[in-house]
Amino acid sequence: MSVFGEEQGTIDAVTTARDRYHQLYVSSVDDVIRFISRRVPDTVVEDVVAEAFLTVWRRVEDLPADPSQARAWLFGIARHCARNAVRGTSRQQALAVRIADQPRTSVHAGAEASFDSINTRLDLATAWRRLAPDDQESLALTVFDELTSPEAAQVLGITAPAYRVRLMRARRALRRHLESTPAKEHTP
Amino acid sequence: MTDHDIHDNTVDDDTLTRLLRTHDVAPADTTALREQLDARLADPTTSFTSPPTPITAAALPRRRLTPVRVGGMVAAAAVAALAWTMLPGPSDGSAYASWTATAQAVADRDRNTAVRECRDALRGPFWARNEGGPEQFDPQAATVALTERRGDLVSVLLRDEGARKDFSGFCVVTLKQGATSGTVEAQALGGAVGGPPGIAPATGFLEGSMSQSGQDPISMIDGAVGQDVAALTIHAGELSVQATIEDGRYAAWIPGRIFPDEDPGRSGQGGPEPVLTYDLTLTDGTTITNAPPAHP
Repeated sequence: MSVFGEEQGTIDAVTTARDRYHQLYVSSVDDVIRFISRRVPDTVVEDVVAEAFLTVWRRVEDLPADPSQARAWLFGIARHCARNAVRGTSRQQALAVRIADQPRTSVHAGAEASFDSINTRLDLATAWRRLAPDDQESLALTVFDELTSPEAAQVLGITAPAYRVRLMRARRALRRHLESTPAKEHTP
Repeated sequence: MTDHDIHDNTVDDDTLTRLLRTHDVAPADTTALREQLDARLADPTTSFTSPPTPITAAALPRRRLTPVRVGGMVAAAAVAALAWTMLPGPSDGSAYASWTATAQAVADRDRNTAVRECRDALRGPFWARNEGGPEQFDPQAATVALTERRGDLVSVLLRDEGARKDFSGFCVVTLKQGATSGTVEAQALGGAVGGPPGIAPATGFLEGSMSQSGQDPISMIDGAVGQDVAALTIHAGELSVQATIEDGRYAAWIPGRIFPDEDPGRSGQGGPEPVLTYDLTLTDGTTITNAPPAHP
């Protein structure tokens, strides 16, 4: 058969790789947007998300088959990209996580509404900002990103038991900062 | 629950979690951003320009190899479509400022470094399919057909030939002389399955793969030359480049475009002709201006 003929073969993207990428993208892009939004300035969120998925594509052969592991693998890449994006302003290994100064009830309306008044008085945001970045990161992976302990551990490159210890310490630190919040901030 | 409860450290984990979630800065509705991202990311084969697998083919109908548009950053992909509409011209950027129309030899150490960087960038392996089944191209195992230096940039042509396959992998690597590592500026894959590589006539040449990519455009070209061909000059718009010839293969790259149309499409599915002309110099000194590529 002539290699010049109309019947010639062409190099196609490896279908399975493309499909695996696409499946991960569709199932995760919203979560990755939110993950990145908590960790980098709004102006660079889009580019960091794009960089994360570019990395996924470049490394698609390493994409775990297990959905949970794939999700953790993706968030690990996203974390790395976010850290690169803020590296100019921080040399810390951990990635600080932003929270809003005031509750955004529209985000989690309904069941949490009853906590709003308490939350406002406690100035949770102040206590959060007093946390070390690694405590923020440990808490955020569970609280905001809703990862399981094994998933969060994989994102951070540590064991699940080690992550659970970090999470416990982070919660303890947050409570401690809440307790030390100036009294006037807790006055109804 | 009261403030007192919290100050007594009695707030449970679930309550703390719910409280924190009310402060989440992440957008509840990601629709707008997602729509923007979908256009850039949803299909990696049309969105990305730096893949582990072949990306959007920038095509040459009736030619042996499937050019593949690859290389560059994600940001480049967003403007790639516009870039295709431009005729070949010098790059506006500085990445290729040291490019020279005539290549130099590559020192052994630099050659090894560039080849390593190229293989790493291409990754793979890849498969090409037709009725006869898939054929694999593994850049890690492919033969180094030639390397050349143009200023601070070293290009690498990898080849994998067989009875039913004809594959090329091409990289352009920024690599200063003696450097221990380089930066792959662009990489491309091309190939065909179903038959062996074509043989160029003694005084002619066969066009092979062509690729074009990037916001800072770069185009890569390779093919086969006959045994009596001493030199091949490729003209692409206002740029001309002296191809490097080694063991019957030629290769060159330019900091500009070789396709005039917005999207050249995929090989075998139609597409525009590249804006290229060729001058050949034979070993006997004969010059053939505007030499046509041979066809089997």
